[in-house]
Amino acid sequence: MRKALLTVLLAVLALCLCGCSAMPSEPVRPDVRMLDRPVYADEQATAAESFATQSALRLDLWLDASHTMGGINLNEESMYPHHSRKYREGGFHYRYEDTTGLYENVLRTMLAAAEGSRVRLLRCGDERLTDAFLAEAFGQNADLRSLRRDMLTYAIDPMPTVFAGLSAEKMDGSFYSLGSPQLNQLPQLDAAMLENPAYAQQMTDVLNQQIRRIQSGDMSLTAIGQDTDYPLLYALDNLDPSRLSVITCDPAAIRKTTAVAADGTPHDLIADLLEERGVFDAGLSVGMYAFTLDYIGQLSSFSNADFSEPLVWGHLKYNTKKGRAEGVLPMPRTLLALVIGQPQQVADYTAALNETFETSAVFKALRGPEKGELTYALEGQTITQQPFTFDYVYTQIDRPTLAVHTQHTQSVTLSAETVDADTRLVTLSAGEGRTFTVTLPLEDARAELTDVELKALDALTLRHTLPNLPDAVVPEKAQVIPLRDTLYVYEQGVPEATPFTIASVDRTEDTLVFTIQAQESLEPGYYHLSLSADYAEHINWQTAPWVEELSCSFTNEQIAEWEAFSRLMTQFERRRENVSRPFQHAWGPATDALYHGTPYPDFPPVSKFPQLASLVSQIQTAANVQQTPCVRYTFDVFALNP
Amino acid sequence: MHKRPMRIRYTARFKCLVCYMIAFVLPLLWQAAGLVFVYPYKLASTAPDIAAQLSPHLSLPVQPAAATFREAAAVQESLWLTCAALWFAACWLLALLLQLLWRCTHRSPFLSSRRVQRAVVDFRLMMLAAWALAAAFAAALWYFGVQHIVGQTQWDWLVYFGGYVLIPIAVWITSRLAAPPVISGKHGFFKRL
Repeated sequence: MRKALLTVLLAVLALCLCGCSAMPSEPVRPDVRMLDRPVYADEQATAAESFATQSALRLDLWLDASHTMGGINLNEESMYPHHSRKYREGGFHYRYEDTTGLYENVLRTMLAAAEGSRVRLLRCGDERLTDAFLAEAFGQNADLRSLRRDMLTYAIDPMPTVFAGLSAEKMDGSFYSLGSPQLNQLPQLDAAMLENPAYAQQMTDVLNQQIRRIQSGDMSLTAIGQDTDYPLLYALDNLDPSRLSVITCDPAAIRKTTAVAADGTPHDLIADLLEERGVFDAGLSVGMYAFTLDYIGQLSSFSNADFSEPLVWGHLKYNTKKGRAEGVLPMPRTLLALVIGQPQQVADYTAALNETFETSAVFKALRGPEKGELTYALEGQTITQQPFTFDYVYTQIDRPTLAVHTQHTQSVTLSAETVDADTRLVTLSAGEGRTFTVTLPLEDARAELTDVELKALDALTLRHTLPNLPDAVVPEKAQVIPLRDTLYVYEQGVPEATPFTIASVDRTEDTLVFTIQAQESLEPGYYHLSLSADYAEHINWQTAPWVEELSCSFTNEQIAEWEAFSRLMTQFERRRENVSRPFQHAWGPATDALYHGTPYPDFPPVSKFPQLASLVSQIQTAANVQQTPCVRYTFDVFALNP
Repeated sequence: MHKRPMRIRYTARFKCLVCYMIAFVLPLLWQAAGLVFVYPYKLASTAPDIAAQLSPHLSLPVQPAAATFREAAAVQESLWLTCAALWFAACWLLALLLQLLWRCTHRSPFLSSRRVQRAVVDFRLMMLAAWALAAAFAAALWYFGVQHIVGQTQWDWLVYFGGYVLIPIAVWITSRLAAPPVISGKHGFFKRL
C-alpha cells in the first residue's frame, strides 16, 4: 500500500515536470518601461549653436585687380597714351603725386575695422588658376580652393601702408596689370600662415609659371573676354565660408549675370554659385555696399561690351599753356563690395565701417571737376560733371527667418495628461486614443499655414521575439526585454504609418493649438515625432530704392552701336597726332553732328552699376527657401502597455 | 545484573549522517536550481514587488532610488529571489531542527517498548508539524509574493513550492531510515542504519 502510494506520488511529480510547459498560460506583454529612451540628434540645436558660438574674426579681403578696376586699357595700341601728362590709368586706385583715389581710404577703413583680427589680402584679377592647371601640379585629390586662396594671397596681417603699394602712376607691372609679377607674393609670406604650408615652394613655382605664360601671350590662364568668368565669380567660388569675406568688385567687370546652356536652359550665375557654395544654407549673411568713388582711367571693356578704343573717364587737369598737369579731374563711378559671413560678424563689421564712413573727414572732401571741365552725353543731353563726395549705400540680405517655432522656442508648450516638459516626452497608454496638444504663439493671427504635417521620424517598437535561451542571438543595437521563456526584441526604425493624427488646429488671437490624437492601433514603445507647418505666403522681398537709382541696363543693340563707334574711332583717330577735342573725355558733349556719317551715340553709363538689379535679385533668389517654415517641432511619445 | 556498556557503531552513525545529508540537501538543491537556473529562462521579469508587500508589516531599510525602470526592476527581482531563498532556508532549518528534536528526545534505551510507542506517536505528530510548517511557509510565500505574479504558469508553482513538498519528505525519510538506536522498527517501520 505504501509502495503504491509512493509510486503514485512520484508519477504525479513526473507529470508535473513534463507538463509545465504544455499547459496554457495567461498571455502577458513585457513592460515597456524597461526600454531606454532613444537619443536623437537635435539638428535645430546644432544650427543654433553655430550662431551662438562666435568664432574669432578672421577676415579675407578680396581685392578686385581686374583691368577695369585699375582703369587699364588692354589694347596695346590705342589713340590714348597709357601714361601721359593728361591721360592716365589707375582706375579707382589712381595715383597722381600724393593724391590717390578714395578707394584707398575705403580699403584702409576696411582694414581698420578688423584691427586685432587675422586679416588676409587676396588679389583677384583677370588671371586664372584653372582646375586643370592646378591638378597637373598638385594632383587630382588636392584641395584646389584652398591652394588657390594661398596662391592669391597678397599679404597677411598687413599694415595700412600696404595699399599705397597697390597704386602707381604708371600701371606697367602694377597690382592691376595683367600677369603682373606682383601675382606671386608667397616668397614674402610666412609659410606657416598659409593654409597649405607644405606646398609653399610648389605654389611659388606654379605662380611663376603662370606669370611667364601670361606675359608670353598665353591667355588660357586668364578670363579676358570670357562672359561667364570675372573676378566676382572667381572670389565667390573660392571664398572660405568659415571666414568673414569682403569682396570688392568693379561693376564694369561683371560681364553677364545670366547664361544660357547649350540646351537653352537659362542659369543665374551668381545665384547658382551661392547655392553651390551653400552660403545661405550655412546660415551666412550677404551684405552689399555700393560706393560712389572717384575714378581716373581708360575702360577697354564695360560689362560685356569690348572697345577697340577705351572709354576715357576722368583724367589729369592739364594746363595746355604751361604744358603740365596741375591736378586731377576724377569722375564718379560706383564700386561694389560684398561682405559675406556669419550674420553677427557681418553686422558688427559693417557697423564699424559705417561709423567711419559717416564720421571720417577723409570721406567728406569734394572730388571731381570744379569748373565744369568734364562733360559727357547721356540721353541726348550734355551732362557737365559737378564736384561730388564719397557716398555709400548698404543692404544686408539674409535667408528669411520668419519666426520658426522649434523645440528651442521658449513659448512653445507641450501639454498632455502626463508630460515631461523639459525633455518633451509625452507618456500615455497605448490603444486608448489619448490626445495632447502643442501650443505656439502666432505673431500674425492672419498668417495662413500650409503643409501641416505630423510625421513619425522614428519608433522603438516590438519587432520580433526569440526563445529565452542562453545561446539566443540578439540583433545589435536592439533592446531586449526578457519575459518568462521569451525574449521580446525592440528595434528602432521608421514606422510604416504614423499612429498619430492631427485632430484639429485651433487658432486664437495670438496662439495656435495643434491637438494630436493617438490612434487605437498605437503599439507600446517610443515614438519620435515631428510637427511641421509652413507659412502659406511666400516672402516678398523689398528692393531698396537705391538699387533702381544706381542700376542700368542696355541692350545688345546699344552694345553693338558702341563697339561700332569705337572701331570707327580706331579707324580715323589713330592716324592723328593728337586726340580730337570731342574724344578728350568720354565721347564729348551731346551733338547732332555726325562722325564720319555716324551719329554720336550716348556715352555708355559707366557711372552706373550695370546689372545691379539682376545681382541683387540673384542674391535674394539664392537666399530664398522653397518653404517658409513656421513650425519645426520634434518631441517624443512613450506609449505604455494598455 | 551488570549490563555491558553499549558499543558505539561508528559506521552506523556515518550512514545516518549521509542519510541526513542526502535527504535534506535535496530540497536545497531543488530550490537553488529553480531560482538560479530555471528562473532566468522560464520566469524572467516576473518578480513581484516584495518590498511593497512587506513594508506594512515590517520596517524595511530605505533603498536608494534607481536611475531607470530597468535598474529598479533588476533590484526588485534580486530582492524577490533573495527573500524567496531566505524564506525557504528558514523553513528548511526549522524542519531540520524539528526532526533533530524528535531524534534527540527518543535516545534513551530504558523501558524501550514504552518509548517506542511514544516515539511512534511523536513521529506522527512531528510529521503533522512538518507538513504544517511547510504549508504555512508556502502559504506565506504565496500570500506576500506569488499571488501577485501576473500570468502564473506551472513553472511558478514548481519553482516556488516544489521545495516545500520536499522538506516534509526529507523529514520523513530521515526519521524512517535513520531512526534512533533505541527504536526497534515494528514491522520494519523504523530502520536503523
